[in-house]
Amino acid sequence: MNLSRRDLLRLGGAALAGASLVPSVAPAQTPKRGGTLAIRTWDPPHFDPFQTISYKTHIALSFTHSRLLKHKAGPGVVPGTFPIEGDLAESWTQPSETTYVFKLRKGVRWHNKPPVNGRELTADDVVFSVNHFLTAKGNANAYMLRAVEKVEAFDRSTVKFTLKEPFVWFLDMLSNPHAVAIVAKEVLDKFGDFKKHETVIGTGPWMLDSYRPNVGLTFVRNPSYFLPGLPYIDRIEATVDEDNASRMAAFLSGKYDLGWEFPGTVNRVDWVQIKDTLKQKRSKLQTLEFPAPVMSHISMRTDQKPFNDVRVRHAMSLAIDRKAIIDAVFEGVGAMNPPVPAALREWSVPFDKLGDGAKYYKHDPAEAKRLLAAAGYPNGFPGTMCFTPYGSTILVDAMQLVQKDLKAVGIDVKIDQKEYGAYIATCFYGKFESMTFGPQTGFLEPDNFLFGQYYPEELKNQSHINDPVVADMLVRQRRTSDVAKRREIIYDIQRHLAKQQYYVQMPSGIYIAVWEGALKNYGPNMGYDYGGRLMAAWLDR
Amino acid sequence: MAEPSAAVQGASSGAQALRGVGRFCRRKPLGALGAFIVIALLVMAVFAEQLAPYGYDETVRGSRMKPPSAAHWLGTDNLSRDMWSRIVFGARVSVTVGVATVGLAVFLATAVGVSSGYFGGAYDLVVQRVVDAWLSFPYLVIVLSVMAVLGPGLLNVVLSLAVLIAAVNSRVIRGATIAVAQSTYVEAARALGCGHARIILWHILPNVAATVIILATIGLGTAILAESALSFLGFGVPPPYPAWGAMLSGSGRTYMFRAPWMAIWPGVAISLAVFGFNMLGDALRDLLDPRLRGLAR
Repeated sequence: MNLSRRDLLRLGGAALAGASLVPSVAPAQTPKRGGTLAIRTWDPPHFDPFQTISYKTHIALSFTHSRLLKHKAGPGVVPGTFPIEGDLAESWTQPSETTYVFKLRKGVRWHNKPPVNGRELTADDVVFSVNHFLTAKGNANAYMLRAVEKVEAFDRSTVKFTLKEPFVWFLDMLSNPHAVAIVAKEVLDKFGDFKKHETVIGTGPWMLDSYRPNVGLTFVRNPSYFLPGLPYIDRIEATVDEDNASRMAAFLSGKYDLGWEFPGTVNRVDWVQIKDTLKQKRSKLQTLEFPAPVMSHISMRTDQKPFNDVRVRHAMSLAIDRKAIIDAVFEGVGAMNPPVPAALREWSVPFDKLGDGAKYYKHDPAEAKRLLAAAGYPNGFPGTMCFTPYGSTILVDAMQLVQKDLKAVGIDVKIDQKEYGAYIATCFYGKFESMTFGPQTGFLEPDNFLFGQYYPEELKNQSHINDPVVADMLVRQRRTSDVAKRREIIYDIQRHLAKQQYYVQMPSGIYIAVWEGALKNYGPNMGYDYGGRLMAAWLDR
Repeated sequence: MAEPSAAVQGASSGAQALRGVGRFCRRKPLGALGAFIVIALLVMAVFAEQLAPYGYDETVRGSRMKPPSAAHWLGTDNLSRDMWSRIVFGARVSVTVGVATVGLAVFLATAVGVSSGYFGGAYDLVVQRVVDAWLSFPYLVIVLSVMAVLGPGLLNVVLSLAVLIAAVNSRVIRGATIAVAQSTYVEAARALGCGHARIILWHILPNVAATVIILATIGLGTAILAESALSFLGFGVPPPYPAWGAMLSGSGRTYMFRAPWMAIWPGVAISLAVFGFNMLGDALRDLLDPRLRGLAR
């Protein structure tokens, strides 16, 4: 399907475009065993999933570890949707609003490495992993399962969760690759934590064969994997490659089978430069485009002047020329975002259904000035904007445009640029004086975007919002199991938030997922679950 | 009567200065070229507002990544900003960082190197071990650590780079000082009863000046390049204020294939600045070094 930039913009980023560099029709084929898949990766700070939120660690462990549930993968799954299926869980039931019972697969074995040496996984392992996830000191992801009151093993293959209150996103949280990787107690007893590469022992489709710090990781097929015949690919060679020119050259020469950027994509800026060369050198490459869930926004101290005045917040949003940002930093191809990014196509409210608040996403500097004057700031006001570049030219460019747009209506922003660590420790968690500009984690469901950022006293409530109307709706959506009704509540939340503009949302780019034509039965999607997406893929070369 | 005499005297000293400049240009053409570049940079830095046709953050609608033309001499960047204007404003950052860093570094290095080389003994031993320890760390680790504590910004870039460059330079200056301190004229000054301060100021410093000037000129290029690296890592002058290094390593590198002028012009500016300072430094060394002064004529 060929879509112009204009088409993609018109579709508000919910569009998809998939293509091969040359037209090809793949007949149904029998999967082949064997082969080595080469990808670019990032050097993990360590391998303990309970001690870091780093994608570098979680991507590596997606090859080696299982979860109770997982997101379905493959060419049939539309990117931006995350249907749930069992991973270690064969089936599950929900006897009440606050109770979930999981039946584990039988015959699941740990990797054949000491100290577990291929023993069979039991319900106690799941109980141990969940409890460790909830209690491990420094686990920044623990909030995902904060609703869990207790987890118990009924027998060797049955696990029961009891929640403190209804939490309809519970299964989504268990499926999320950020959440509980199932680990063995013996490993913790032997090593004290899971940081060393020797502790990478799971029940996943591949086993860590070698780890070369700052060089790469090699994964080999787990011969005892619980799904018969899977995985098809024998070996995954993951290379740490920190220089973009080097990565681009390597990709052009055919070294990598997936796009070198997260999650198996190529940045559009680079893509525009190399696509013609690729047509000649790697004509069988496949591509698929879908909006990225990573969205930047301006957060501000809405508990203080001048941002406690809704007219000021409206003015700020109206000052931003989002189309110019898309043109300048996303090569003209981007997605406008309401409070839930357009990438989450099942939950993001379309702009034509956003209601009155939709008008604040337009660029209208004259109206912005009028609103500022009405709020008592006819000459605008000065402010600081906390920022860290994340090593990204795109982000730096977007920030400059935001600063220029705000200046044009009289808001004179001084950039308070911080080192990444300092930024995460302060501004990312709302510790700033005036404003902050930066990207947010690309979550895979709306609750993380909404509850975390808008519920009073939440860590990531950067704008210090205390809005009883929003808080009530946020709690209600967490208790509404009917998906259609929940979607309507989430749409209502976004409509309310669009009128309040507690955060000024920026557009997102459109990912270009790229993969080698010889890689069959692969479907790109967002998220860290590289292993899950490759588990049933196979190589035809 | 006095006025015409003063005017004649003024004209005569002006003519003398012009003749001196002419002589310098004939004898040291590369040095003269270097001086011209350095003066041009200084003029750009001081009069940026007057020389630049656009503001450094002013976008020109419909002019994204336009190649050099009559309207935009050096083209435009990915945010539709005039490259010439940004290069002109960028001179302010580069010149400030380069000169301030090297000035501070040379001052520190000379103080440490000369005192260490001249006094020797236990003082030298202790100071040099501290310098050894300092040099054993990778430079980026030190700079990033300093910047992490102090935070990003022009002053902190200058401080962190100056301390680093000073450590390297002090070792070289110490070597030159040891050689000079063993000269007969220093021994003679000592025999005549000159104090340490007089010997250092009148006999040592002028004779290590050539080394200092060379180190300073090399350091200017290093400082400008290091500033660019720090800017890329987010520790330099925060955008949108342009710094050549950041222009080169940021969007310049990203769009290098499609809009090469975005990388070429900042690169040319950095190269010219380094070349200019080096050539001027070489020529000054030839003129100032007592051993080379005769050769220079």
